[in-house]
Amino acid sequence: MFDNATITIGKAKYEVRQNDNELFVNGQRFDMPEFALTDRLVRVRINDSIEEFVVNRNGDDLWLSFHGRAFPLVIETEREKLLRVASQDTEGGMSGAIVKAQMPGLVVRIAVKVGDTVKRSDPVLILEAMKMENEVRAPADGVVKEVRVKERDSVDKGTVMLVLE
Amino acid sequence: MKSILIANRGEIAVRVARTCREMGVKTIAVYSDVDKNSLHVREADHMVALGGETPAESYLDQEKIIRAAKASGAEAIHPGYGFLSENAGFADKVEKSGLIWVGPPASAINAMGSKTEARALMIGANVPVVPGTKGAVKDANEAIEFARSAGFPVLLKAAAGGGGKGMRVVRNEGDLANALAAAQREAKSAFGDDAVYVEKYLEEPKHIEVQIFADKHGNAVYFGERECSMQRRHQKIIEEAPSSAVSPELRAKIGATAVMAAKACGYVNAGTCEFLLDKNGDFYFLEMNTRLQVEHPVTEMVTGLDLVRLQIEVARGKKLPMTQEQIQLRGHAVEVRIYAEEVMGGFLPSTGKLSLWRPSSGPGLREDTGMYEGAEISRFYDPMISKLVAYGETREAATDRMVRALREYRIAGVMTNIGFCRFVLDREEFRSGNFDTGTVERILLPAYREYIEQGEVVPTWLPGVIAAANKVFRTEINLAKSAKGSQQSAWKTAGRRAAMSNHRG
Repeated sequence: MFDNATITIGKAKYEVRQNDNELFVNGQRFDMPEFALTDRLVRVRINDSIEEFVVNRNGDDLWLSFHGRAFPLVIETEREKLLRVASQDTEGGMSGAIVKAQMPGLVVRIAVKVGDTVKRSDPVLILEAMKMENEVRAPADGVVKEVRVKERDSVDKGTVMLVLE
Repeated sequence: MKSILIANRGEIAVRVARTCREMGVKTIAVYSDVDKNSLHVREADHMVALGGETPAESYLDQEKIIRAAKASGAEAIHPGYGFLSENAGFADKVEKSGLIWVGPPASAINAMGSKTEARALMIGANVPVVPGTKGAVKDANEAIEFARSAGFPVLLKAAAGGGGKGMRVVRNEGDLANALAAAQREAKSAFGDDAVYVEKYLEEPKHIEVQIFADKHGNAVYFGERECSMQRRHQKIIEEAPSSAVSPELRAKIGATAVMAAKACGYVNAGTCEFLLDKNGDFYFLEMNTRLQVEHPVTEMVTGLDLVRLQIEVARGKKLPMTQEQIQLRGHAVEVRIYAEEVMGGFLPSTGKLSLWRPSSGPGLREDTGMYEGAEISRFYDPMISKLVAYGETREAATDRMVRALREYRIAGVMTNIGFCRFVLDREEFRSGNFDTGTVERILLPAYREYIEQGEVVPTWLPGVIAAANKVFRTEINLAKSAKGSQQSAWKTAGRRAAMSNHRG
């Protein structure tokens, strides 16, 4: 079972897959190294040497410092990627009256009922996926016309959960 | 002179206190409310609170400082650089209150403090100056008139200024009035004086400055030059001694000119004459800084002198212990000013806590700092973290040493310019010595932007370990999203746990 993440350093994208013992960076395999963290400094034992790097935060941005050099850094886990794609879809506008499940999951809570008025980006329900609760937000202003799911329902990706008008 | 009040803060206050300690001179620190835990307070023998947060309420309050000196029994005041160091009125008050001023006489500060008066004085002393208006301009029309006759571009400068504040390059007539108004506002708020004058703007000059020293017995010498052309928006980033653009002949000539300038204003103590050096090897007097300079350590490295010790000895009335012939330069020194700033965000100051700070050390390095791990970099003061100096027998050796030092440096909690400085030191422009005061903005910043976008210069394992660390420390949400405070502590807590168990991810 692998965890996937996309690491972007500068404009260079690296697809990383990892399990307990292995790391793959753009397909290149490494034994999972030992590493430790103090404050924002990571010390890692790799290729028979010990290296250090620092991840600094500046507002919403991350910066990697390594060997006296600094690079903008973006970390996106698979889950974050799904959420990002999902919010891009729901914020699309044209299909804005429908709230679809952007990933398979479990409806944990429904925050609205038929007839409620919602504003764009109000939380409307919570979908548990990948063992995390994710807030699903209204894609547009409107009134809830239909609620097609109930709490504890399992939904597939693409299931229409709410209809707004 | 057995005790000195240091009317400053940060690294320069610490640096002065260190020499005082070596000389057996007692030191008194003054501090604002913001600085109550600062290193400069801890390094001093005694401390006196000034109160307040802003410079105006503390380090610029002349009465408070003189009262502090009197109350603590100080015999002298060392002003450091910035704040009141070039305030002739303050120097005068200090002397009149019976204290010794470790600096030049008020008359010399006055003469050199107004850039327009200094120009007139220098012209009289046959020191070459850049063409410009005789004094501060009354209005935009006067500025336009000069600019038309000298030709664009022109440079607007605060008469009382320094450090790039109140300074504007204007390339066409349409922009002049607005730029003048802005420069005047900046000058007013930075120096309390809105006088601005206009100069011909020299394209692609080098900024070369000469360290001079004069005693009260009419002796004056120069300690060679410093190369300060690596700057952005008139703020120096990397300084060197000596300059690779200055031959021994030019050194003698520019040095003698600087001494002439010092003598013309009856100068005593440490001072710096700034010159612009053009591509033909012609140089023009720019201004004289009547104080110890931020970048004085590079001169100390290549002369083997302690300039603060010399300042104190000269203030005591001693003669300069050397003649010009006895001054020999040896080797090369490079200084990097490490700033808490966002290079890519237009060099905006980056405030916050130095949560992790591990400076470099080892052969040939010197670091002057007022910081410590856990120190807060506040919005109230200059965000300089440290001045790191590397010495080597040659320019190349000193530069390689500095690159090594920057590679070792570890900071977390604030953004710094370390990456940018390391980039500059590796560039051909720096290595060849072929750069001018505009090289950073014209070439190096755009090149740096391009460079940091090429993330593939890091080893392949690194993004992998970042992803693995991100997962183990369960900070993916904290690292990538949401507000600032919470995720830092989450990362830290996870880190402690992991560090203790030497967690295998």
